[in-house]
Amino acid sequence: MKSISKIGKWMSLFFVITFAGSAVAQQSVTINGKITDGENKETLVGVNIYQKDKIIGTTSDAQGNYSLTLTLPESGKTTLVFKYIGFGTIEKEINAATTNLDVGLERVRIEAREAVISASRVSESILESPVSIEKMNAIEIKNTPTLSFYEGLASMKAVDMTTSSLGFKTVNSRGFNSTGNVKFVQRIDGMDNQAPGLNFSVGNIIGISDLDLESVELIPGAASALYGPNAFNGIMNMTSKSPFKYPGLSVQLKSGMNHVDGTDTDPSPLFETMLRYAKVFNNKAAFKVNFSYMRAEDWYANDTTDVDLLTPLDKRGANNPGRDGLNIYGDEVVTNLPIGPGGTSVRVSRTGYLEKDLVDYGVKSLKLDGAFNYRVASNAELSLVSRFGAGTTVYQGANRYSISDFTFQQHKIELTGSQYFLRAYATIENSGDSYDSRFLAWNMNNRLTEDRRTSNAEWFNNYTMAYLGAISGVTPGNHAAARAYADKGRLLPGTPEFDAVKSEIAGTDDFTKGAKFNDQSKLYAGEGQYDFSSKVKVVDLLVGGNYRMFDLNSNGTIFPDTAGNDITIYEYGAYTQIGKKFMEDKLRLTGSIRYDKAEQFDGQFTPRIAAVYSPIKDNFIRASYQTGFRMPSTQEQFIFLDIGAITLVGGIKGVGASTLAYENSYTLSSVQAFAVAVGADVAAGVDATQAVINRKGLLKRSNVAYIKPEQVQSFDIGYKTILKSSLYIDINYHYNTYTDLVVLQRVVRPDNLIDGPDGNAAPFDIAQNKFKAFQLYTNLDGTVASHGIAFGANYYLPKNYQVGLNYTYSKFLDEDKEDNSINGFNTPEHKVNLLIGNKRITPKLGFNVAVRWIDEYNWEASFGEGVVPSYTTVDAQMSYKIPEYKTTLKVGAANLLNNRHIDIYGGPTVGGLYFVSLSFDELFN
Amino acid sequence: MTTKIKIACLASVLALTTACSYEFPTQPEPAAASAGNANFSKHVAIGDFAVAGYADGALYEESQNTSFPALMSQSMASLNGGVYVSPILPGANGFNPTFSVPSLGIFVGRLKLVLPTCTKSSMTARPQLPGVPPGPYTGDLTKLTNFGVPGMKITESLFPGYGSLNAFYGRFASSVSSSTAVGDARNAGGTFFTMWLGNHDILGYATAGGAGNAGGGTGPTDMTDGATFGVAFTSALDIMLSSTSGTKGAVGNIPDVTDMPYFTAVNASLLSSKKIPFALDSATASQLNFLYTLQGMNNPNFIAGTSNMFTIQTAAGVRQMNPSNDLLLLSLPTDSLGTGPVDPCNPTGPQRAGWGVTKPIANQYVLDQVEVSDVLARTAAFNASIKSAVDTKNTSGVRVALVDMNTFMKTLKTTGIKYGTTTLKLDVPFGNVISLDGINPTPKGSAVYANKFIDVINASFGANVYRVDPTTIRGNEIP
Repeated sequence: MKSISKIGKWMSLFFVITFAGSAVAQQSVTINGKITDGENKETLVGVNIYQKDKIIGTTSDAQGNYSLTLTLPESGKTTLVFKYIGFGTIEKEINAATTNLDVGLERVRIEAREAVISASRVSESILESPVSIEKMNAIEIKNTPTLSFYEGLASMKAVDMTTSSLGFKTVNSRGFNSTGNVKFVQRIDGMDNQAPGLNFSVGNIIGISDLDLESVELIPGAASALYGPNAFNGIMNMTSKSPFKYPGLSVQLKSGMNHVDGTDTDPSPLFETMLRYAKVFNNKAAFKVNFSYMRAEDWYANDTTDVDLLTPLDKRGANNPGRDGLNIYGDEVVTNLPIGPGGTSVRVSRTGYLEKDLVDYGVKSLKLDGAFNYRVASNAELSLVSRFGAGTTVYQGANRYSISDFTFQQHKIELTGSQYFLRAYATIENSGDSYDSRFLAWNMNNRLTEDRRTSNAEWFNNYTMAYLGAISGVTPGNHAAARAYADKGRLLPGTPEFDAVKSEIAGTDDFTKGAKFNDQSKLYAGEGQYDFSSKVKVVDLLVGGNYRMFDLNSNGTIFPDTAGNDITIYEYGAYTQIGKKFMEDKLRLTGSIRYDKAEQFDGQFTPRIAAVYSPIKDNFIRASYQTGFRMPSTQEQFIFLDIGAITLVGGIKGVGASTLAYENSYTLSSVQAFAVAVGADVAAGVDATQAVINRKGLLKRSNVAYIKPEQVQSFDIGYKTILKSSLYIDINYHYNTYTDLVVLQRVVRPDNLIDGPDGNAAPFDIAQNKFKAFQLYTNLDGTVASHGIAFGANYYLPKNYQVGLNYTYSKFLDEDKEDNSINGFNTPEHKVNLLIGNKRITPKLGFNVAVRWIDEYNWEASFGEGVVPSYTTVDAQMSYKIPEYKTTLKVGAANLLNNRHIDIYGGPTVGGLYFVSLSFDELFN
Repeated sequence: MTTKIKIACLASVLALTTACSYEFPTQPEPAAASAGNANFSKHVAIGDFAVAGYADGALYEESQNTSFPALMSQSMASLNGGVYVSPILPGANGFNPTFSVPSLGIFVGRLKLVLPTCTKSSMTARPQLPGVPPGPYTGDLTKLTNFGVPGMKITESLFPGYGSLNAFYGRFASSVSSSTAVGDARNAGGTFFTMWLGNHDILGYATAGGAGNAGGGTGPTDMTDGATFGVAFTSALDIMLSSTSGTKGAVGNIPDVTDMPYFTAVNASLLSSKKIPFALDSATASQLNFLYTLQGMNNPNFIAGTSNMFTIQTAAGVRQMNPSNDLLLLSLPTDSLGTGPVDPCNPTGPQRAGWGVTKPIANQYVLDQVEVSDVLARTAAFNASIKSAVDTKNTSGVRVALVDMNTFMKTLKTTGIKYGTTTLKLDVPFGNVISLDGINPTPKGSAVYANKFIDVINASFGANVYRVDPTTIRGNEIP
């Protein structure tokens, strides 16, 4: 509480500093000029011209002309900055006598000279960055050979991507990947893009459109020292185009096709429309609006491999009466029927439904946003931003969820100067009609109506009777015949009855009888930063802080919240960074430290120390040590979800205590071993009570600890160089040590106390089904480590040809320590990208090709564990510019060779996607 | 979340404070304990087995200290409750009247579950050694507050000199030759009493397999007739109410004893272990039919196959049992039942005596359908008498709270009652309410009974006596 009010005081101080001095009247000057490409003298449209260290500025118009009126400081002179993507930035000093200033800009070939902000939260060139950083600029965004920029991120070194569905992809770096990636932060214009109820970003289905995206910066690895909790595996900052810098109209129409081979479904069309309009009024006010809508047929997940854990491998398959198909749901409901020889039990599962009959594969993505920016002073710009998104897609978590009409809103107010920002925003999600495909199948199967004998009890009874020959006309001893008899009256996909029951259950929000999610969680956040470097001359000094509050509202369906008692979680943090250059500016040292406190956990400090040494020009050696941490997600803290077979319980004491599962439980594996041993004893003629007493030693008490934040310590060394002005090389090595990794632990809690007053009542509880199974969230004991190498080289050939090659090596060093937890490293050991392109074969024609090879790797997640086979994909695009119409025609193919592959085990098979797009841009060059 | 709180929450974000936070579901703070319009300064209990703390077929030190009136008194202690004193019969094993032979100086104690000795035999309840003789209570008789006497019928509780007939009373009677148990209880001068009498008026008959007189009678295995019960109950209640001028009390009614494991466990176990119905080949079936016809049985129905039932001796003759209506008792020597080896571990050893197959199960081990219906009818009659007796005392304000133990036992039998993560039920041993004798509560069960009495007392007298936590008290000790 005390530190909070300190932050408050500091914030008000900050306002005073910001506006001090802006009241003094000074001489103003108006400068006009024309901006051209220094090489071919063509006019450049949309070049940013602004006063250095101020906000005030303008852009060049369709003829390349600009006009800017600004106030000179007391010195009587100032600097104008001319900045344009793909060209070198130029600074020109002006004074009261300057009225006309024409400028020619030179193209830059090497993106490494571009500036990034994310690495140190102040602008610096990529080369000088003290930590590893990747960037995708506006031109690369435009030229990506994939459906959107987001898929294009997979070509970066150190970046991994998961595909839950066409609409839902997530990025990760440096291992511990997952489909709901709570360890990787994704931000748009400084706003955390996470869905508050989930704690991770829903890919880019509800995000930013390509037309409005200026750049993406991605830091692989921990970045908590500057970005706070959850910047654990990395962070991605997406920056949209300011209406001041990018005025005008732009439109993109895209049409494409996937499922071209017809394997999963008929070839399906894809449409996307994007529109952006921005306007500036008198260099003082500006607004923009964005609209984007996409519609496609999703990739199908239809792996029917039998994964029933209790059936021996050689007995699995379509003829296994206890079959559990990976992407078949409903067949997880299984029981032992006494129909084997001599009354022995046979494992029989219910007949399931294919995923495609249960989920909505009609991907939709709507993005709608608007911003109003106002320059309240020469160094203060106020912006109001509202973003709205809605989407339908499939998300793969513990189950495959049909995310249907999910909506997401963000509203932000921000004040920005060249040395500071202060922002507050709110995120509001609504799960819409989203539902869980597995519960849908279970509850459809278990629904008893008068004319359908489909409840589990009835079904298994009918199966037993049919198999044993009690039903005339049914062949006894035949599993297929017994199943066909028991399935009589089953809802069949494609019938109106099926659809009616499906939509009813999908719309019911109690998982014991329905499948719907009901979540309207919110996130409120505030953040501020001030760069004191210009005020403090001795060192570079940066100070910042943030506060955020989650307001979870699942109406009791996911969390134990009730009307009038929403779950709220607050977190706050503050950081400072000091930097100084030594040895004639050849060595730069920065140190950062951050303090964070979350409501349920103790406060903690996160340090970072980094050095960049440049002994000779264009050679940069960097080294850093930092720690990252992650607050357990809202679900890991607060979930309370009884899903029938098991209850998911959040890891904080207030949630878990009432279940006694943390204190009074056996490990699931020991209960399974016990059950097998007792069953075998009884089958061999041993008395049941005797068997329990003899085997009770197999039960292992679990003693699960309540959850706490997880930590990573990361060492990173790297080297960047530009050789002969044409070869850019970046290589780095990192070594990560993880402490207290958050893991899931499955336990079985007997009804009676273990070591309670009733002696061995607990083992007998287990034997008599008097127990409850729980999935708990806790931390892994001890530390584990991983390391990796990322190497990238870009060779800039004559005539604008460019060849890039990158290689990423990732290795988890403690695979044997993953006992009783479902938390895989989920990252290929080797990954290679080859990129060949030419943006300007002729002034009108450009192309690029990206080849990606991924090594085989294991995927371990709550949905399933299995191998993701190695695959190679080729993405390619060709663009043709039609300057008369300010239009670009692009023909592209993601996965040109239609090489069907999966990204995650249990996920959809991804094939080729071919598209053609037409982009109109008022600022066309 | 109400709008007001929401605004406060939002304001707290803007003000960077932490005014808004989630309240974890917690047990509400209990309201202050209160005696309401009752006075618990001296709590006296009168009754039979359960009141005395009889469990596991014996009276022993631990079970007496955790009898349900004792647990109620512990809860009343914070309400100016006085000292509660039971006439403790000492010893960890106590005195087991069923298995002891006092005339030979053989004393055994309570039943305890013991581990099976061979892999094919089951966990069994065995009486423990050493037991103790039910010697006279050596404490101060005038301090006693618990007057529970195992095996005492309501008529006997009013019988002067009952101490000479029942050693459990004799050991603490104020006068072995002339005092009555109810009189002694009254003379203790309780401001509040708990009375649960009359169970044995039915149990004595039922546990003997209906061997006594169902119509009425005073023998140990006779079932008291309804009229006698009504008169006796009213006078016992009147006497207890005269303890002090303002004495109030709680009275339990009579449970349907056929719900108890003593009557249900054997059938359930035979059915689940598939010992009934049992299999016969056609030759044996015809042989048995012939044999029983010779003995005068009407239409014996043994057939080839797996649907045969044991034969039982009833008052109306021999017949085959129906396990839903005819209850085999826990007293049945199950090693005589059926055919095959007595010890499953020793197939060539002594063989079973063929009870139920070659000879009918004796009447004393079966409560047959007719007897069950007699028991149910008498239970209903007793409970009607109890209700009317109580009602007449409550015409101007509640003086006597009626605790419906009959309905309560049915709840315990069917759904059970959940405490924490455990569901307590009537089944033995894992239900943990009933001890190994199949009738009387374990200490945990006593806590459950105590809570039932406390709930009704609180509701009837506007009191707030705290409930007992059964999860901290033992049930059946599983070895």
